[in-house]
Amino acid sequence: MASVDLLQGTLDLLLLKALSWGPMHGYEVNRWIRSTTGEALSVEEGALYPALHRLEARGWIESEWGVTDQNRRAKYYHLTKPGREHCRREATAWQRYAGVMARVIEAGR
Amino acid sequence: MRPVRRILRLEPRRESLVGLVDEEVALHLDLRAAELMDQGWSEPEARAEAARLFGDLRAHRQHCVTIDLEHMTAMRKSDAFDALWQDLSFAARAFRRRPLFTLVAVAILALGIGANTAVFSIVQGVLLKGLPFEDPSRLVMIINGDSRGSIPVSQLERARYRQETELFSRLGTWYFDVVTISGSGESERVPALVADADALPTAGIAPLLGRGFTAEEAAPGATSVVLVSHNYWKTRLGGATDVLGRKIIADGSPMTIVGVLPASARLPGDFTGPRAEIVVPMAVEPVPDPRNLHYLFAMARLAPGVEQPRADARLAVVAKELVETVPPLPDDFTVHVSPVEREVLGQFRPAVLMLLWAVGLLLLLACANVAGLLLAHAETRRREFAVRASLGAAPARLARQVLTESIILGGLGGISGTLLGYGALKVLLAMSPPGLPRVDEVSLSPVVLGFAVLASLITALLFGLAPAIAIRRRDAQTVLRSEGRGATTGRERHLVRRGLVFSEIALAVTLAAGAGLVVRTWLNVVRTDPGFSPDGLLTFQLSVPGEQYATREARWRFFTSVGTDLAAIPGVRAAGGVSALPLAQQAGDWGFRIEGRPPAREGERNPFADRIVVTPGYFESIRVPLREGRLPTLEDDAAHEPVIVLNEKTAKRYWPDGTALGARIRLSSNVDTVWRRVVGIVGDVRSRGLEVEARQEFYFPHAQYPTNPASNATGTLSFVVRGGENPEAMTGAVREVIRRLDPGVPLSDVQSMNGVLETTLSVRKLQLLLLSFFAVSGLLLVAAGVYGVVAFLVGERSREFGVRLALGADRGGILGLVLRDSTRLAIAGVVAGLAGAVVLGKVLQSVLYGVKAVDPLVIGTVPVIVLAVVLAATLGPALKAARTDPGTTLRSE
Repeated sequence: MASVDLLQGTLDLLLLKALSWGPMHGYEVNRWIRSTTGEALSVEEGALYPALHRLEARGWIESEWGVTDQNRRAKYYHLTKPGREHCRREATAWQRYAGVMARVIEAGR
Repeated sequence: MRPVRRILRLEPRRESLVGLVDEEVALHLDLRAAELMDQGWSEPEARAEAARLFGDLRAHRQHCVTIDLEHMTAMRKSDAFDALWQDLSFAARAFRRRPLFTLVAVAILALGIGANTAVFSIVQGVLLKGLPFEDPSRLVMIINGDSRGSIPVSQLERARYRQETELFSRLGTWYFDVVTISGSGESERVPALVADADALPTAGIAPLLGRGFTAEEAAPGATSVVLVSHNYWKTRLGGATDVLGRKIIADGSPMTIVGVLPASARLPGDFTGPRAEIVVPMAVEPVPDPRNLHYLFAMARLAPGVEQPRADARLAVVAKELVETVPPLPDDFTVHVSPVEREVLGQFRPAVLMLLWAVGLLLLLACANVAGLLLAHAETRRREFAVRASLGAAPARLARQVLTESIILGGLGGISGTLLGYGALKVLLAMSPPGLPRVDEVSLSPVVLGFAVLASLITALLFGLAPAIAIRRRDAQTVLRSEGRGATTGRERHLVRRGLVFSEIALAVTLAAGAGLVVRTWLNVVRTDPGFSPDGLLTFQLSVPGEQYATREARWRFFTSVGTDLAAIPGVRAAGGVSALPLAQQAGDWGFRIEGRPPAREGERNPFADRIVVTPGYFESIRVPLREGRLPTLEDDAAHEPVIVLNEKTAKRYWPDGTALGARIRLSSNVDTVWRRVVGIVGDVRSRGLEVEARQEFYFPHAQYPTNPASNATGTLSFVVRGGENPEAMTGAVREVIRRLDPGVPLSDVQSMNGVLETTLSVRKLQLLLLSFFAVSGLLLVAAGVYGVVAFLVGERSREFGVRLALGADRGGILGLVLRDSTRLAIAGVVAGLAGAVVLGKVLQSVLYGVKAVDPLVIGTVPVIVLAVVLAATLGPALKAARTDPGTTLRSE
């Protein structure tokens, strides 16, 4: 399957959605995205980090240093209340957008 | 919980942000490589692939660090704000939980700050603020004196002192008078300053408009010029800029206005009473009057490098020289200089200093009280702090919390204190005795306010911080555990609290004793018989213009008709005139010789008495009782034998055998050589003030007073009119009488004799009101303080009481235990307070009258009152202690 370039602004939603499952560190977020999308979306893996830091600065997620199963220090991110709100709003907007686009494309066939 | 976690959380700022980002990235690359290796990649290949998938590592890393840096800066700001907000809301909650505590603490602070600010503002305005002179520290008044007190300066002495050019760079003299300004409309009597050419320049006062006097203008017979005050210029001349050169008629002669003085212009002697409206040149005598009359104020500017001791030493020599060359000077004549600041303050210094003492004690009391309250408050918060400390709040954070609360408390106290101080200042100024110098320059002083607020803040901080520091010292767990078990608290803290109560009681005793002395003084003063009956008396002053009433005859005729016509007013029982109204004006004295006795020997003083001129009806209307002989009548005129009336004191002093009546005396100065027969002896009058012993006085019938054209003694008289209960109601009728007789004679100083009396009492009244106010406030503070501490101690010991009761102690025993405890404290406080009272009494000495600094009545009463207050404040908590239910207390633990 050819990978789809990530649309501008959708990375944030993707990250928030990932974290809505619980606290994760950066690599876990990356793995969740890959497995959920079936590696269909191509994200430069490093771009994840500035995005996470930006979300934290906006107050949508918070971070805490913790320890992984292999006993390594890792920075765990979790959603804040405003982050959860934002995620829900964005997701709804996306669904509507995607639905409209789908209908448009169907009609064109 | 969020703040607590934030405090506990590992702070990223301790480590470098870059390091953290690197660690995060490294983890990703490692785990990604591991995942690839699981899929069968070799390690170097997997690492390379992970790095490729990651993308531009440097760019991403830089991006992260930038975002984090910005974020951290923003976080720091909001953190600080959060914490402040949190402190404030904690404080607000703490205060809301204890409204009584907050209210009482704020009220106490307000009282301390308010009273202090008001009183200090007055002291600053009156005592400390610079005089309106140029370099006042170099200005001195030259004070003549002898063993009986100070004497004004004479023209002869003026000339002599002016020769001391090494001591004084400039020397000016002046005196005060009242002149009649006539011309446009009704004539008016205005206070005037009669000054030589150097008087205003010595003080550094320059006219606002025009110029001062020249030395020539102060010579006798010179063209008449006048300076007007700022007030006169504004109110009478409309503040016009072209007033220079205009003429005003003063005492009948036209005078040219040559200058206008600035509003601040004043000379010593003018700081009390009505301010001089015009300044006229003093006639400097080319040849000094042989009588060497003393009537001048003299002020000098010390020459550069000359200090007071040197001036005094030199003047002592001058004084000796003067005694030898000028015959009428007493042998013990002295001269010295005194700083002008001291002289301006004069009689008010003791009263103002007393206020300072009282208010200082009150501030101490307020601080001790707030300290006590905060300590008790702190006890109840130890647990709260321990809980917060164990939850991870840093000691510094707790200290800051207390700091915030203290500042809020101090701020609230400060605001209400300022309001209270402003109000108190208004009230104090309204009550202030007439003549308190420069009272019009008093305003609420920001410096003073700042000082008082700072003092209370420091107290609040000191005692508020104590528990937070204690938490830091002890292990919070210990506190939690010990509090949980209700163990009694440490001995040292009890000691501090009891020490505070002890000092409060001591301070209150000192204040109350001071107030007691002032109350006793007041009672002594008002109970003093002035020697006349002030009720129902109207007084006013009449001054006849010199040119229409050039002869004594003319003046006598006028004043006689005034007396007769006043007495004819319906409802008026008697009326008469006097040259020196008791308590209002002072008479000078004259020496005299007694017929048949040798003149005074060398070194002895002739008999003397204050000279007073009266018209018939004076004694009858003021009700000075006649002891022997008769009172002056209309018959005692120039055509009849000269007679004189003595007061008892004079008669007894010089005729101890009671033979004064019928004796003859002659004035010893060369005023005249007539023998006067003593025809009457009247009662003594306290003419210089209720607390001043009666002086020796003799009364001249107006028509027989020594003829002296230069003297105005018979041209200005005060009249006393005895009417009904409301003397002021007669004012209209009195004015009508005077207008009918001569509309050109102005009436001034119209007031009831009781008004005059009140004026003389006003300083005392102020002292009385203030000290009583302070003493009552002090007692209230003590009551509050004792109540607070005892209630707290009782609460703390409730378990102990419970155990005692359970073990069979009776309730009376518990009650006695608590009462005994505070009685012991009170007695210790009273003893210390009485020691303070003795010191305060010594300070107050100069304002006391008829009561000693250590007064048995005060020493006896005050401890009883204070003990009663302390016991009353203890009784509530003590009863509560006695009602302790052993079951409840024991179970509750």
